[in-house]
Amino acid sequence: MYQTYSRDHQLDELFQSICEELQISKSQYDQAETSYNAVAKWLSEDEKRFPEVDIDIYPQGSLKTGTTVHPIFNQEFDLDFVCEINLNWEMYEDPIEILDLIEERLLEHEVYAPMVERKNRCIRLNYKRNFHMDILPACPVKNASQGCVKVPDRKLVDWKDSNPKGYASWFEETAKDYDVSFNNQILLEKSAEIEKMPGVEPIQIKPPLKRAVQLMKRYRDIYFEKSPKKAPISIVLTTLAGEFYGNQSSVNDAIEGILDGILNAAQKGKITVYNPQNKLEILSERWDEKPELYDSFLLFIRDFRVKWTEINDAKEKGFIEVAILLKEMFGEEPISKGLNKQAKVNEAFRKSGKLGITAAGLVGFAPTAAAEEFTSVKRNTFYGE
Amino acid sequence: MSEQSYSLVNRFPQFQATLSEHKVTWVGILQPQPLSAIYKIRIEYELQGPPSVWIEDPPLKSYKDKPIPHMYSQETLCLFYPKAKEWKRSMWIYKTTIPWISLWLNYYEIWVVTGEWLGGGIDHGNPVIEESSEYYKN
Repeated sequence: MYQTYSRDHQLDELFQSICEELQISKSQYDQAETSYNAVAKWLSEDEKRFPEVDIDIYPQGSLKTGTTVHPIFNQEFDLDFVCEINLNWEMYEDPIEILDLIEERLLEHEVYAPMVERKNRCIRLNYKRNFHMDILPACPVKNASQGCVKVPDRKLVDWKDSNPKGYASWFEETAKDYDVSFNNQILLEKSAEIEKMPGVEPIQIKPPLKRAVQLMKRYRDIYFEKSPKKAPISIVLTTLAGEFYGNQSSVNDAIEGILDGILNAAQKGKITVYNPQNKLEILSERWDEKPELYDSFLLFIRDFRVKWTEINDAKEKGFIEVAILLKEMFGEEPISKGLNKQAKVNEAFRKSGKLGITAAGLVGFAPTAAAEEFTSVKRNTFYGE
Repeated sequence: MSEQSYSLVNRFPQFQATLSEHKVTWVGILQPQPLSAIYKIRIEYELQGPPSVWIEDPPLKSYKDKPIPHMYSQETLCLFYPKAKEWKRSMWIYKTTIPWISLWLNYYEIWVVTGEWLGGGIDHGNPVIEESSEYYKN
């Protein structure tokens, strides 16, 4: 294991651990799931407004694709849901009518009533401290391909095409398909080894594309911290990432490939981002309305690419240099928390006598195969000022 | 002393020994993590007492100009707690000191990035707060 656990593996492990600190926790996820199932039940039991109508609430966006990133200043996640109501959308000329029906129904519930917040095209439910749920109404499109729905448009004057389910499966399939040149099996094996230790948690190794999207969104948040209105929206970044992803098996290479792909495409002409599963839906419509947003997007991608070269150059210098750059790009908190967890893992192995060093001095836990080459760390207590 | 030296160089051949009448000096390199810099280490071992360890290169860094934890006078590494008898002259240096140096470097690197010493330890003035990393926060 340690002969092949390289710099690039350690760097990818750092990326995976940063993302783990950024994403929704398991308990928050479970809580959100319970919540949206309860909301779906409440809505579908409405005999007055939705008699005999099938109502299905399902996550869309980052929650569905496994690419959540909490906002910079708090831990409150913005979770998007589709409330698919099996009504004929053509009967409702104004989508606002359906939003009103949902809002009315939620206001009848004593728990939901104080949580309801009307947004432009969705209903928001504010769950204290952890997350808020944005529920976007949708109606199925008859005789269209799988998953196509109509949703209120941004200005709420008409219905527009969408396909959240199709989008999610497109992303999932794209992310799953990566080659094995960079053996991230090593990271999975290490995780499995940690899993056996009580009291510590391994880093969850996700497909590189998902981690790449999380890091792109996080750097977007940091880069546009002072001008968040200029920032490209998450679905645009996620779609571009999926389209320019070249099946790389490391997060590092995936990001490099995606950024290069975007920059090359931009040289050939202005980029327009479509929903890959419904070409009628233009995801980058804001760039047509406000061309300056496209310019700031390109500046952001160019800056990102420069920073990426810096990180890869820093690999030659040392861990400290790499980690300090990562801190600047992605924020102090996820790096510190991630390193803290890794240190706890080391300490757990050290206490159980399984921590050792290789002939070169690399610290790690004893892999049985390389036992002879491994010198275990004897009990010690760092002492000093 | 020559047994110490033979065993150390045998296990970690990147170290070179210089023997004099009163002490042995080993100089060699260690790399605690794949991404780490390669650290040049000097270990001196005299007729009495524990080995002393210096990091010769690259120069050690600080977190926000704070003194590096677990060092004597910011010069040599404090690798064990003397009162706990974690180190005795009957022990092999290659089995004790060398792995402790790697581990120290590992936690030092994280400390430079986060300001937290995550490897546990005891503070000189406050030996009661054993294993408290909280103490070194910021």
